[in-house]
Amino acid sequence: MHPEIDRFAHLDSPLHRLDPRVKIAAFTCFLVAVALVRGLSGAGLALGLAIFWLYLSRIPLSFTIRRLKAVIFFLASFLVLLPLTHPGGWQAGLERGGVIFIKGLAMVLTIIPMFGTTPFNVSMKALARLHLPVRLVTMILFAYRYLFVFAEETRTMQQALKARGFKAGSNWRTFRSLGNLVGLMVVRAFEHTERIYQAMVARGFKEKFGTLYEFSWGWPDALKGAVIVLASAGLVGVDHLWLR
Amino acid sequence: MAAVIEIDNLTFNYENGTPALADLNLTVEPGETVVFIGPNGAGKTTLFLYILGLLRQVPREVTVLGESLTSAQAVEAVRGRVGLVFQNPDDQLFCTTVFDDVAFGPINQGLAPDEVKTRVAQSLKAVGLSGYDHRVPHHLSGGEKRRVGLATIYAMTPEVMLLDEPTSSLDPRGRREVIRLLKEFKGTKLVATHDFELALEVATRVVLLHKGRICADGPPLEILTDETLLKNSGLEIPLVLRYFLELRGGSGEFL
Ligand SMILES: Nc1ncnc2c1ncn2[C@@H]1O[C@H](COP(=O)(O)OP(=O)(O)OP(=O)(O)O)[C@@H](O)[C@H]1O
Ligand SMILES: [Mg+2]
Repeated sequence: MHPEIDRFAHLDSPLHRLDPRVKIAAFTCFLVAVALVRGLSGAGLALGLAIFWLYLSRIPLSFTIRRLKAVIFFLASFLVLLPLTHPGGWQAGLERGGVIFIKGLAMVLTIIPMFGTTPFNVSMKALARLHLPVRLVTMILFAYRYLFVFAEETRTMQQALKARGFKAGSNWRTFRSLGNLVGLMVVRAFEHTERIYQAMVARGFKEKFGTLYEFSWGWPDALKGAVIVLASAGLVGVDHLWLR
Repeated sequence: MAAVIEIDNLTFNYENGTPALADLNLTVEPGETVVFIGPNGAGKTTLFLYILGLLRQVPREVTVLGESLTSAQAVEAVRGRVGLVFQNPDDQLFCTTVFDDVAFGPINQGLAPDEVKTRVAQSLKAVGLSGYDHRVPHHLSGGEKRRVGLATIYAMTPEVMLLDEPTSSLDPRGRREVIRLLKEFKGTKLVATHDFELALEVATRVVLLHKGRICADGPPLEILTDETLLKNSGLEIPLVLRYFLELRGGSGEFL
């Protein structure tokens, strides 16, 4: 498994053609709007819009679904926990949990076309152009690269364990072995990342983002950006009206 | 002409106290191909990382291309002129496409976009990987990764190349290919390897490292066939080479 979010960045779609700076700014606006939503119907609308962005991006559904599994698992915990613990009773809790679940889903579904339709390093350059501090962008880039390294290390370690006949069970030995394993994985991933950093520095990296991508935007970009921003405003408005 | 690399009495220990290099003195002249041999842990990789100031120190014992590396600026300036190919290509390649990876160095050198594109195309062609621009580096085969690794350095047109085990984990044809590419590079080369054949083929001089020290430094044949010397440093002559020497009557003129 590779956590590469930009695997489908080479496709062609209205979102792929949108200027990365506009794309990131407009979708950030949308994400904020989703976060502001309080009611179930607003959340539903947000989910609908998110699915629409995804549809526009032409990113294959199978890719999205694979990426969603872990997220759904995490979000579902709210659906279970809130009905049990909400002070307003289980019904209020269920509604609250439902809103969180749907909003979370909508946000993740938005992030996929937001960063999945641009090569990752171009997205990073766009962030830098949007005046995010270079240090912060470097950190994001590293966290991202670290994900790969971590996934790779996990796979090799799993294989090594299996090759030596390890079977997980619910006993102390399994627990201890897995504990050691996680520790070792963190160390290995860290050292690997360190060497990657050395390789970058050896080739003259000075915490500045070079890419050959030339940003340019025109009317179509402005129009698409405006549509996303208007949708965001509409979402907040509808949610507000509905709640009253 | 000034020496390409001069190292004056270098001793280096890792932060955890592991001694890695001791009392090391070395001068490399322009056009030389110096091959470093030595058992695992001898300090070959450490030496290369040290020369480029990648071990968090200003390598003040080192003089590269006439510049003594006594300040961070001097180290940075020299990095564009000295290319380092890492032992493990997975460390070397970190971008999401081959193109971006090869373009990374030239962009850092501040070249114009067109020039960068030309450099990328030329280097990929040189390593026989034209058309790989949009491939994902970590999905390539071991041999392809190696060659992309070489291309990332070629693209920076360095005057000196440091190559850390360039032929390890390659099949015979992959090895041939890499050796051919090394021979084509006309600048000064420092190569770390366990591959005696590679050493015989490209070296103008062999340096034997053991426990961070230089135990021998001389003509390739002399060192690579000196059984006692090699044994004392934890190395041995590969079987094939041994047979060859015996066929030839023990020593000498076989190249
Ligand atoms: N990051 C590190 N921290 C601590 N010690 C290290 C580190 N890297 C290497 N060493 C130690 O420094 C010594 C020299 O290691 P180095 O990797 O330079 O050897 P090498 O000659 O490249 O070996 P090989 O042929 O296996 O690649 C070894 O004893 C090693 O254990
Ligand atoms: Mg090494």
